[in-house]
Amino acid sequence: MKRIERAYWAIGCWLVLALIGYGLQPLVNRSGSADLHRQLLEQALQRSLISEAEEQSILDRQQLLDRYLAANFAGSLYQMVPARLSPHLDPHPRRSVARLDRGTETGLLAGMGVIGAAGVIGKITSSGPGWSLVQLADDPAFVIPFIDEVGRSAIYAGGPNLGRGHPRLRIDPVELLDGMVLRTHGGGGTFPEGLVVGVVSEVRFPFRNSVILLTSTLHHGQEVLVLTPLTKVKTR
Amino acid sequence: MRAGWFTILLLLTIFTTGAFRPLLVNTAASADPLLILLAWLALIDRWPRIIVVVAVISVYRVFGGISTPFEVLTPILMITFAVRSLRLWMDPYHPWKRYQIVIPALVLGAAIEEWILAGYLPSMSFVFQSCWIAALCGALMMPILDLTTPLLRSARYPL
Repeated sequence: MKRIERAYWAIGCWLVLALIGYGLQPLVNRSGSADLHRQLLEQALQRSLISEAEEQSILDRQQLLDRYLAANFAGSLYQMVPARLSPHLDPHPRRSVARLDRGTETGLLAGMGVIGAAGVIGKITSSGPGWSLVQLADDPAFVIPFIDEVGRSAIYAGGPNLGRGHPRLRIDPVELLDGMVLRTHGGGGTFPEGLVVGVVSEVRFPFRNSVILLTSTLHHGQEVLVLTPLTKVKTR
Repeated sequence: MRAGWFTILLLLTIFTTGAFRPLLVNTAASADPLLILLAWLALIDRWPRIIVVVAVISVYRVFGGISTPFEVLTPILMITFAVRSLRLWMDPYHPWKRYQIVIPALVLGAAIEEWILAGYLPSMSFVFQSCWIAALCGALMMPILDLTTPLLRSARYPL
């Protein structure tokens, strides 16, 4: 076989391998821990945040709005803008991103927090007319302060794997326990206090190697709310 | 025609990165096919081609996603310069010795990427795991790239 023919064969085989890779993607994405993931998060939410009836009712945008309107942060500092979140593949394989169907026309700007039925989803990183890109909570560069069940604070960071995060830094002497629900601290101005960040699934040493499970619907299309900070209007 | 096949190689690598994306998490960042292509080109090829690949990767990743130019360019440039520096001491044409150039460069790129994104220097276990993953994926991809060299028609690739 001539060298040029071997080159064509190499390109053909490479293309076939890439196609096989695409074909196997659903198998890789459906990890064995998905059920455990969902179970842990749902148990924690049922215990501490909402009743079963309310969880079943979070099906559309209006019901999602109703739920968070009852929360104590509503109307105080944030205005909630409903939007549709859809999966988006970032060209960088390490980044975790989603797309919103609303953008600058509704006042959405970079840095605003995005929440879903199960808590924190991510932050807006860029926006334009009719679109916004959201850095999801499992992105390695996503960082927010959180509090444990006693109220001690630490820093959460996304990654290293999809659907997971880890504690990066202790601010107070936080001690993580399996199944502990972690909530937003409220500092930083992106998220109000008390929203669910995730559930501790593995406690490891050192502290930053512990694993925090995020909502299992993080990478799925869903209705979300964008928290836009209210600005004071000067009146005469 | 050279540019045509070069473009096809680039597109095929981008396609491969998308195909094996779920596997490219954490330590497997050193197995990014686009970075392996860049390291392979940087071994032997001319600077203009290397610069084209660097530019394509940067533009594609910066404008298509949420990464900043610093986050994208720093690991790429580190890989390029690491390969070009190491090839001064080792033979880039040797079928085995060239892995001693490519693997450290890919691991260095992955470590710097981790440092920029996650905010801390990776552990020794990260480096060891990155090493064998880079070796495995390099050993899979570089022989295929070697076979495609007649299509690139460059005097840098010996017949």
